[in-house]
Amino acid sequence: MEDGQIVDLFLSRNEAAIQCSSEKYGLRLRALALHIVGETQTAEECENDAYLAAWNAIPPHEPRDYLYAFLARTVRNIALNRCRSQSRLKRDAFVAELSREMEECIPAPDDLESRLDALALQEALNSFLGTLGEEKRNVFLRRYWYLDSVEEMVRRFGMSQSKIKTMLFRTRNQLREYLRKEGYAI
Amino acid sequence: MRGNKLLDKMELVDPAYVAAADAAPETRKKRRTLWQAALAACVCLILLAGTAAAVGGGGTWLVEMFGGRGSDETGYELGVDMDIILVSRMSENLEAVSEAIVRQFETCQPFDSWLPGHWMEKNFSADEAWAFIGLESLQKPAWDLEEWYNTLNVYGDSEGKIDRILIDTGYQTGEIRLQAGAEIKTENFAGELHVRSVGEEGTSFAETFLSTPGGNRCQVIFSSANERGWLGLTGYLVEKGVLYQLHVSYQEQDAARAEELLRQWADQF
Repeated sequence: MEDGQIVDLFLSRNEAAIQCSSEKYGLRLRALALHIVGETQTAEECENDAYLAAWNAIPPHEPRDYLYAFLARTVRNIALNRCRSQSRLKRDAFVAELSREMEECIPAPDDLESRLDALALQEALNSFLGTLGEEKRNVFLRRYWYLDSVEEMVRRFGMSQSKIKTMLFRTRNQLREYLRKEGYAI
Repeated sequence: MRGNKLLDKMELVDPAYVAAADAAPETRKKRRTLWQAALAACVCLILLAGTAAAVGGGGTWLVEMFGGRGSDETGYELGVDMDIILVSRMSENLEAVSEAIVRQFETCQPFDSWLPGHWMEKNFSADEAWAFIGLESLQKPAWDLEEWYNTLNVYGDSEGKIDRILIDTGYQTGEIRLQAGAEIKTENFAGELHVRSVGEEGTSFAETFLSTPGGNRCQVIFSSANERGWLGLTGYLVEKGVLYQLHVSYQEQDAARAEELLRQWADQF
C-alpha cells in the first residue's frame, strides 16, 4: 500500500492504518529501536508506542511523502528516552558518548534552555547538511541520527575506522564553525 | 544547550536526508595505482622484517607514524604477529553464535548490527564475556575498577565460520578513562592483523617499551594532549595468541596514576 493511502487511513481514524504501517515498515522500525535500546522486548514496545504516537499525531500531521521518516523519527525519540530512563538497558554510556560528541558541535555549550527555537535549528541543521557531500552527510547521519557504532559504520561504508572517525571529527568541527559563523547561539 | 539535547534535535533533519542515509551505500572498490602497489610491496617487506624481529610467541611493532603538522591525518600503524587460536579450543557457546551469524546472512536481520557477520553482546559484564568465550589462557585485567561498558564482538562469514573475537571493556577511575581490549584471530582469519590509530590533527606520538615480569614485551605509545588537554597512553602486547590493548586517557595532573595503571595492567603478563 502507498504511504499516502496509509496516511488516509490514519486521517479517517481507521485502525487498519496501524496494521498497514506495521506490515510495511514494522521490521525496519523494530530494527532501529533494537539498535538503540539493545533489547528485543523493549524494541517491540518502542515500535508499538510509535504507532500510538503516530495515531495521535496524524492529524494534524500528514506525512504522505515521508511516512517512514516520520515513524522512524518517533521510534528514535521513544527509544532514546527509554535508554535514558531505564538503566537496566545499559545503554546510557553509549548515548552519553554520542551526546559528548554532539556537544563538540555547539559553539558555546551551556545548561540553559536553547536560545534557538526548533524552527531555526531545523533550518540551520538542514542547510549545514546541504553543504556536505552525500557520503559525508550519510556518515554523519548514520552516527547521530541512526546512532550507529563506528564499527558498524566501518562495515557499512567499507572505510577504515580511522577514516570514519576523522570524517566525523571534521564534520563536527565544521558544524560548530558553521553555527558560529552563521550567528546561531544554541 | 548540551550535547544530549542536540542529539535529540537531530530528529529535525530533513526526512529525505534521513531516508538517503538508510539506503544501502555503494560498495567502495579500492583501485590500486602502480605506486600504491609498490608501496604495498614495501610495507610487506617491513612486515616480514618485523615478524622476523618479533619475540617468540608474537608481538607488535611500529610500521609507521604518519601525519604531523598540517597533515590531514595523524596517527600510527602497528603490525601484529600473533598465533591463531582454534575455535574448537573455546567454549561451545560459540556454536550458537556461529548459528546466529548464519541466520543473520539468511534473514538479513542481524542482532544489534546493521550488517550480517557481526554478532555483538553488550549486556555481559567483562567476567561474563570472558566466561562465554571459555578460553582458559585469556587474561582479564586484574584490578577492581568500575566497569563503564563491555562489548563482546564475534565476527564470521555466511557459513558461520568465526574468524575474529574482540572483547572491549571500558573502565573509569576518577578522571581517568581506560579501554581494555582482548582480540583473538581464529584459523578462519585470512590476512594480517594491523592496528591503526588516528589522533586529532596536531597530535604527536612517541614509542617506548616495557618488560613484563613474565618476560613479555609491551609496546607503549604516548600521544600528546589534544585541545581539551587529554593525553593518551596505549599499551599493546601479545600473549598466548591474544592481542591485548589498554588505552588510558588522562589529564596532565593524573599522569603518574595513568602510568601506574598501565604498568599494573602489563605486569600481569
